[in-house]
Amino acid sequence: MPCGYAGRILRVNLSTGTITVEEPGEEFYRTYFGGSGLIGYYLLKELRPGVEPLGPENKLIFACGVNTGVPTSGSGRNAIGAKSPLTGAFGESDVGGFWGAELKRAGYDAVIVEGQAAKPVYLRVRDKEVQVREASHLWGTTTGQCQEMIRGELGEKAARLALIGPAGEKLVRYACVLNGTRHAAGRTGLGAVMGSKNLKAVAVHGSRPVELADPQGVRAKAQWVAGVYMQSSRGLHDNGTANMVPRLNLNGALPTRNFQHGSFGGAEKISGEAMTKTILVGRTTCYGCPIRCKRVVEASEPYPVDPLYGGPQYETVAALGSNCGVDDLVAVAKGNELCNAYGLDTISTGSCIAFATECFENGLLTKQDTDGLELTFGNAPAMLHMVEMIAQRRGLGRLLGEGVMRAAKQIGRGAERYAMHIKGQEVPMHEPRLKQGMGLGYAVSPTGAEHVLNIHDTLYAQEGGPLDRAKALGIPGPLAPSDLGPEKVRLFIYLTHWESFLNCLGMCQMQPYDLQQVVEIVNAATGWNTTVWELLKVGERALNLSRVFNAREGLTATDDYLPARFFAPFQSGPLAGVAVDQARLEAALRTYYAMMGWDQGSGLPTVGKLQELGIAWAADELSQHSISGSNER
Amino acid sequence: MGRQMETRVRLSGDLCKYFEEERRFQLEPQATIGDLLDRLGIAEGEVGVIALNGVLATRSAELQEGDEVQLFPPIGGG
Repeated sequence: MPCGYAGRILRVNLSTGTITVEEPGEEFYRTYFGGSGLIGYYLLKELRPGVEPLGPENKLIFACGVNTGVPTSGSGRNAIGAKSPLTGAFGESDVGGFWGAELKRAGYDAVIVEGQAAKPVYLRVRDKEVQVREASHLWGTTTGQCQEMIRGELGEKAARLALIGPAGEKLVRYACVLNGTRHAAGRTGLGAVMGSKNLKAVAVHGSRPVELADPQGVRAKAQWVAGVYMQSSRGLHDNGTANMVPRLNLNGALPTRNFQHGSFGGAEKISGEAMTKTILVGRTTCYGCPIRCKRVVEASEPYPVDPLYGGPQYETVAALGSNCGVDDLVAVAKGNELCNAYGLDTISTGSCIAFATECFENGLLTKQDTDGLELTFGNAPAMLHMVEMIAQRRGLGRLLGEGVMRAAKQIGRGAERYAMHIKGQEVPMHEPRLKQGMGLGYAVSPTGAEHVLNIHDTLYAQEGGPLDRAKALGIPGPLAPSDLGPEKVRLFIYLTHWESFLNCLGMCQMQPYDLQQVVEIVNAATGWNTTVWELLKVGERALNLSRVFNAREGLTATDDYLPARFFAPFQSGPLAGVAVDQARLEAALRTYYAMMGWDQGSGLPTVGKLQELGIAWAADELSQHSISGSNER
Repeated sequence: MGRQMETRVRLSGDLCKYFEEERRFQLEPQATIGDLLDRLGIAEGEVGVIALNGVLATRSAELQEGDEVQLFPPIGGG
């Protein structure tokens, strides 16, 4: 009897209507764990290279981890993956809330969606009962409307939904999937993949608690977090992740006006503290977690903001706020509401608007392109109007919905200078000119610019909790954020191996556990005898699977880069004169490939490395498609 | 004993476990922010960013009468 994981994967083909269940066996779960690793396995095994991401051959995979639904803090996450329509590469996003735990309770670790329905449908999973149901009447609804309607027609008020809004239906390349109305699997355009399959929602009701090998062991961890979280995670609880805004601003590292600046005059007005003092009406959370870092906000002036859609976290506050020059917190909250209702990634949406704004301010777009809108930095109503246009693919929104890379190409005349993306995915709200290791992570992330599977250098620049975790991995002492030498690359690798593992496990990174406690949770849930070593290898394995997938899709080492803006120093502020040094980044990239056991020139995983990870079959994928790493840096 | 000077201190984020509201401290003239931190008993790694009258500062900065110091945890992710 499997413990922790369910041992069953649901496969639904929307072209044929076939519904099957697979049981891969314990060794599969111990090797791939679920989440990111499971997605890498199936995408590499079952997609042929070159499929159209918005076509029927792509597969959309919802993947819990072994820990999802286990009753302790941080166990609410699932991953979603597919070939990304934004990057043409490995697409993955990880999300919290309650949907993943519900799927596990229904008796499944993952759902693999294949093909394409002829008309809009939604999937209903009620324990062993699985149906494909009519959804034409739901097409065009917001996530809030759809959730209410599906719960009503199923008579299941407690059903958990993973769903898309109109943006996914309209194939905006960075449309997202939401768990409910407040938790977003934001990045890489998985909402568009779901929309391309005519799949509106996956509604789940699960009635069996997850089987556990050592329930008392799991319970003890839950109780420990309940006792410490107000010491360890007070800032997150009180003011959400936007509590970071003031200190980023002080350091000149708050993305401002499309990364042109690092300090923003309106920073104090859009911080987490400001939110708590003005529009915060509640704090909510994910399955099992007492920290309650999620915001719930409400407003009526100057814009009505519905608390159904939660509230903005840091990325959104920066992407729709400072990076658009907007200092009106209610406008930012409204933008968050619209993105959650329409199903748009707030980071990419904000970045596309900032890009368009810089184009407008430099005459590359005119009022004719914007239908008369004065699209300037700081114009909050204009920012909100653009969110609507993008979601509905109207006017300039039609172009911006393609992402900054494609939009810049279309506009031409040097617009590429303002397009902040890597591999086609828009850059998140962290400044590599402060956090140099973050810049490396942006360049090499399999999904394009990515901030969670990455290092926040500032956390490891002094003694404290994060550095203690690094010390447990053998890193002897603090490293300056500006350091990009081999020591920093090694730290980056050890951390991202662990973070990648957490994405396979289904566990939230913001938990106060140390490494050994996570090992204990896994063993208590599953009855296994795992160790930090094995779990780091799980994370490394997932990173190698996505690297091989990308190589097979034609990505090479030259796709590991940073946008030119980061090589230019800030002109003023606390980081005046500071930039990413291109030669130093190149050296760090080669060091990264070498330390990963990849070819130092091509960045391709070697056969030996794949064998060491127990995935020699992945090497066969490369040789079958004659990928030999001839395109070197 | 020289005339003492008053400094206002506000804490942010996880540091609020020490105290929540703004507090005032009497310090010796030419005391530094480092002296203040020693007085507060906050462990070194817990303070990531220091603001003196709204501007980024370091532990060695000298304080003056009426200064406001704000202490933040290290910059993380989100």
